[in-house]
Amino acid sequence: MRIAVAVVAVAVLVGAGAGLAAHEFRGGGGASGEEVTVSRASLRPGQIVLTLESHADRVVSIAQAIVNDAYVDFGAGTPGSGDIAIDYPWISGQSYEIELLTSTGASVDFEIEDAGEPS
Amino acid sequence: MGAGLAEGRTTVDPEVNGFDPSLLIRDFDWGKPQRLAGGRTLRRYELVAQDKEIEIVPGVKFNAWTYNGRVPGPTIRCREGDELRIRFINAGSHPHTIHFHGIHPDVVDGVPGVGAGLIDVGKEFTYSFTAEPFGLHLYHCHASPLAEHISKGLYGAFVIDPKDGRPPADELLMMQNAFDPNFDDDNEVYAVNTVAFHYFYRPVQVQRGELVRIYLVNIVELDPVNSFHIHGNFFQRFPTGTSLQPTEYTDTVIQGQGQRDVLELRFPYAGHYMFHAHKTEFASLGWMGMFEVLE
Repeated sequence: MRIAVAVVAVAVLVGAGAGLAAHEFRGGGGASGEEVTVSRASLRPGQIVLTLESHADRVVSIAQAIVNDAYVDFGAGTPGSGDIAIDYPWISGQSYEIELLTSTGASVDFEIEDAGEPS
Repeated sequence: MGAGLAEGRTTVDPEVNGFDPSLLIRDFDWGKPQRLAGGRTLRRYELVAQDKEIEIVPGVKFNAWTYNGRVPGPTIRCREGDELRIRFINAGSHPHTIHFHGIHPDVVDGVPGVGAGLIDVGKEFTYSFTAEPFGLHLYHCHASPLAEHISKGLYGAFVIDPKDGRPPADELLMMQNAFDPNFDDDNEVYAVNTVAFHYFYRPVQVQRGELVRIYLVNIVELDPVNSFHIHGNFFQRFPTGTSLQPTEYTDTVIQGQGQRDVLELRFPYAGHYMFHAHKTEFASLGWMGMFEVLE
């Protein structure tokens, strides 16, 4: 599986402190110039699982997920892991453009170029 | 259907936006009427440009520019031949105008450099003209950059009835619109009357056998063509509503930017019937609704 990641104008919410809700991410103020990145993508039957990393010491809230120009259902992956699990009937060999919309309308965009191909 | 709504299969709470698409769809503003000598009617309206954050799909906010705090703005309604006075107050953060489609002198055309031109922040102007021709028109800001002023929400429908009216009907305003919240010149949210999937989760209730009239407008920016399709039924199409004779009996209509149609139909069967853009990308990104036909 090949993935290409492009972060587009990610805006962030100022965190309230403790108690992050599902789909909210806080980073540790890392050196990356990008505030949110996808560090890992994996495929399960009927699901695309993404691991997000926030590099800013602020909270990013993922409000919606779009796959190939359609809103799709998603939920938190493993609690506390920073994973997002997107419900999607992906097909081996096809490509998928994914946009994660934050609460401010900014997006994290990336592409799975060839689903199912070993990386 | 996987609508992908993060907080469950729902729509935006109308309290958040201060307007409810389920009410807006039947909300027609006839202004404040005054009878004139000779029998004509003068109608006064007031539109205020104001910035406002709105929620366009659950969880996603958008910094809109609005007329009267809602998107689309008020649906201005009148009869052919009425005298109109539309007082425009710019309480926003940028110069704006109101450009009305219709027949009128250039000084009230609402474009920069002609007549009053741009209305600066904190200023106001009253657009005065006679309502003609009858039909379904629209109004929108004409400040530059035009696409930005329109796509941020400064538009509304402008309905001029024929002098003798149209047959009684359950009338609905459907403004096809879209939003580009991440400014990548590609819309991420499509809808009728602003909130994605609203009428899918809050179906439009109509009565079986009753005449339904849809005022359909396409104001989508960034995409050249939009469409409306209905399930389980056909409708009569009156392009721009400027004739009382329909030109087509169909179940799908294509509209370019700024195009309008009046559609009339009756539902012969009770039940639930989808309506959506037949550009499936737009449907999957929010332009999807449902009629609930009641006995």
